[in-house]
Amino acid sequence: MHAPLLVTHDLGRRFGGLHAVKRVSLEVHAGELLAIIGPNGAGKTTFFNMLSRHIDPSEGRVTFAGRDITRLPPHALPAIGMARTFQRTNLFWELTVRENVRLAVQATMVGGYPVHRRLGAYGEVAARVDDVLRRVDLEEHANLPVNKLSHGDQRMTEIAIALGSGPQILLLDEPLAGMGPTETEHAVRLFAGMKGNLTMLLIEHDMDVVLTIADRIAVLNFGELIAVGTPEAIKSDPSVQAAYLGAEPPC
Amino acid sequence: MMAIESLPAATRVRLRDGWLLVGVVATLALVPLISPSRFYVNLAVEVVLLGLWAASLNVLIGFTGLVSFGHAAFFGLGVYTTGLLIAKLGLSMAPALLAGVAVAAVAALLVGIVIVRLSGIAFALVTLAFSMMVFTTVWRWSKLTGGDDGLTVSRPPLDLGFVRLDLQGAAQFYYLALVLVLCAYLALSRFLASPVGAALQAVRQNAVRAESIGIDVHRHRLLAFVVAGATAGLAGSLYVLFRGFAAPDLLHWSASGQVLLMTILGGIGTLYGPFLGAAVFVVLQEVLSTYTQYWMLPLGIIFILAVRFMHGRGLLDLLRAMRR
Amino acid sequence: MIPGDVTFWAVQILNGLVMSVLLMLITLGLTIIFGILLVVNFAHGSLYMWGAYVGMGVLSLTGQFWLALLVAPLVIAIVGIGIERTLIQPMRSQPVILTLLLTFGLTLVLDETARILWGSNPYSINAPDWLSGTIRIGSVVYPIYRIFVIGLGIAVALLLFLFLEKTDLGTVIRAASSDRETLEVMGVNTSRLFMLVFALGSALTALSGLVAAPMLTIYPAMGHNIIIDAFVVLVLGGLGSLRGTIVASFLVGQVQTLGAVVMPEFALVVVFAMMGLVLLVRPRGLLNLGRLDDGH
Repeated sequence: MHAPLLVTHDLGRRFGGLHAVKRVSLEVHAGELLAIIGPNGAGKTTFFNMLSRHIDPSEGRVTFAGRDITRLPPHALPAIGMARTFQRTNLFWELTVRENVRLAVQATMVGGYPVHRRLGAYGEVAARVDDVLRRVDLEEHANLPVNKLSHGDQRMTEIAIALGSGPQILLLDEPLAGMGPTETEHAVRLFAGMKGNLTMLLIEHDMDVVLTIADRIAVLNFGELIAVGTPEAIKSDPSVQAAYLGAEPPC
Repeated sequence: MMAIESLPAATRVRLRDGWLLVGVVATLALVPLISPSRFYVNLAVEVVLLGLWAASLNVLIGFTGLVSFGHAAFFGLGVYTTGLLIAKLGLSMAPALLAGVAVAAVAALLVGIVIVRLSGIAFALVTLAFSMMVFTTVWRWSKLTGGDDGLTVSRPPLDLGFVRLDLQGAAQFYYLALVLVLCAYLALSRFLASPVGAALQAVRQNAVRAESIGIDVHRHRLLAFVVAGATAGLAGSLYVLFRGFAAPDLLHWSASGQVLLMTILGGIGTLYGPFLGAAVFVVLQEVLSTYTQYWMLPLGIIFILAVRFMHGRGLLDLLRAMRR
Repeated sequence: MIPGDVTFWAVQILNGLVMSVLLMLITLGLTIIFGILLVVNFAHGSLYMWGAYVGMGVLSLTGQFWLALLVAPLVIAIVGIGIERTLIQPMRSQPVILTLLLTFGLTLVLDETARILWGSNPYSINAPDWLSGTIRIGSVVYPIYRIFVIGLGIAVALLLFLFLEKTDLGTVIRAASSDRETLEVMGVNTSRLFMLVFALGSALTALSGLVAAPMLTIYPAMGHNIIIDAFVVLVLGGLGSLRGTIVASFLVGQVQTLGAVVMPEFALVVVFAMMGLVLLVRPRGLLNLGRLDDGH
């Protein structure tokens, strides 16, 4: 579509004898929704974890907006515009939805260590929190503690937190996991609406969803990138069909 | 890398109930007027100063999720820095106080840099080792510190340039201590209510998530550690001025255990809970030591029973639960 | 001031080895308990002290040192079982910090009880006749008892390794430290396992206390300083790592002993500084094998 925003160069990771990710070179274009698919154990989450800097690569590089981020600490990413969600819901369990999102907003919006200012005094923080809550349609439950929410709402909160960082690119690790049909539809509409303004990199198993909203699809198998392309191209790619033999076929 | 699973904050961490604070401070202010005997004033000073010490520990435990088994180190550094500067160099009160806080803060910074990256249990063990290192140094270096015999520290005047106060009376010093502790408490309160404080609590609840939304976990932990250490140093400096005497047992790990008990007993969900814990502890110690010289034994048993059956909930949490 | 002759240094190194053995026995107990139960037993130093007192009791009753060597660790192992059943086991579903606090409180109780029973004044016991006297190696004259202690340490370490590698129970213990859930599925009685491991750890520290007694004096606070060194060894070696414990025991033992000779006031400072430097570079211990709180 447009200029590449996030690029991996021969990115790889070994765990002892296991070569979990092998020389993956992938370009994510600005504004697109790129879905990563592949059978279980293909190395998708390991790949993701290298992008979000939760593990170090054994080989290769990652660049974001032209800047080498291969060795950046994880907490430096939101400031440069990268945010991620987790496969297992990972919230601040004692806090409300609003407070969860507020933490993410505050972490990128409030600079320095303002130990003397009250948290409530930051109008711009509250404004962005409200905006995010509106976009994900969680305003109704905003003041509930997250441990009282339904699983689907918790997954949405997970996404809301990531949005709170005001990112340019959103890394979504199986965001629809455990969601019911209505919630899934809601989330899909949300993603579709954000395309163009926000770049999204998405790991997902639900092939119907992937084929509907992805601009491009990348297929990983045994740690290797075996195909990248539009949904049509991937659907008819024989190596992709071979990889999925025995598991869900893409069509 | 994970911190020790946080203790259950039975209620969400709160900072101050305004009227409660006013009421308590007013009551404390009235103590010397109600009872002329030094006994109650001394008791009140102990509660106030040990309470600040315990509250500073709670900045670590209740708000940041870090457990320190060596918080006596910073209290003790305040005691001995201030004490030695007065006894050996004749400094007046204000610079000696400031120096006590400064030394404790710097020590917390140096130790903190190394340990904030450790897992929760390793962190706790190293804080313990550090405090015993300070204890052993103070204890063995008897030429400087007097070792087991202790150090006598006469209370110097408070010389602020424009005014000079000789606070020799117990009640006079008590009011100074009360004012300073109140200031420290309000400063901590403000700190914890700021975005930085919110980030600390995020670190406590879910360090991994905090990191992924952009919070520098190590740096925030270090900040909390230095703040806690400096505040403990202030409590210690005031303590030696109040007592007029410094002894190494204030640095021993059993002292760290006592302040830990005060904090947990009072409740880690608030900044003022530890003050209640300190009050209970001081009274309990008073009562028990009139019956036996082995008062550590029933104290230890109470400690065990409290943790075993209250599961980390403090007295404040119990009171609140009963009120419901 | 610092002597330059070989004999002096040889003796110091041997003394360092003795210290290493004492530390190793205590810390192996700590690290095994942590590896399986994910709990650090703060009362370990008190059990060390009780091992010495109980051993002294057996010695004064029977006059047989070897009997004390067998009985004291056994008695303390039983005490350990009692602690595990009443205080550790019921808290398994609670945050682990509470268990740590419990064992902290337990230290107060055990120490004061010892003070009540035996008073604060130190006792001394002598090495048995068959281990007393000195032996001459070259220019070095060294107490036989201390050689015995070093030998005992090596023997115990070897026995422990054999036990863990070659026996069924040992294999279960090794498996338990990496995968608790699988064991339960396999039908292993993890509850009984935890009890046994705690007993073993307690026995090891009690043995250390008894073995130390003829060299030092017996008094209620005798566990305090050495447990700090043990914690340093534990962190330096990496929590849960047996190999790390052995290496770290050696290191700390030597540094502590040499430091006590060269700069007695600051020996602990040196040990601590060394630990700090290592941790800066290797937060998971010397061999990078240390476990995090969740066992990983």
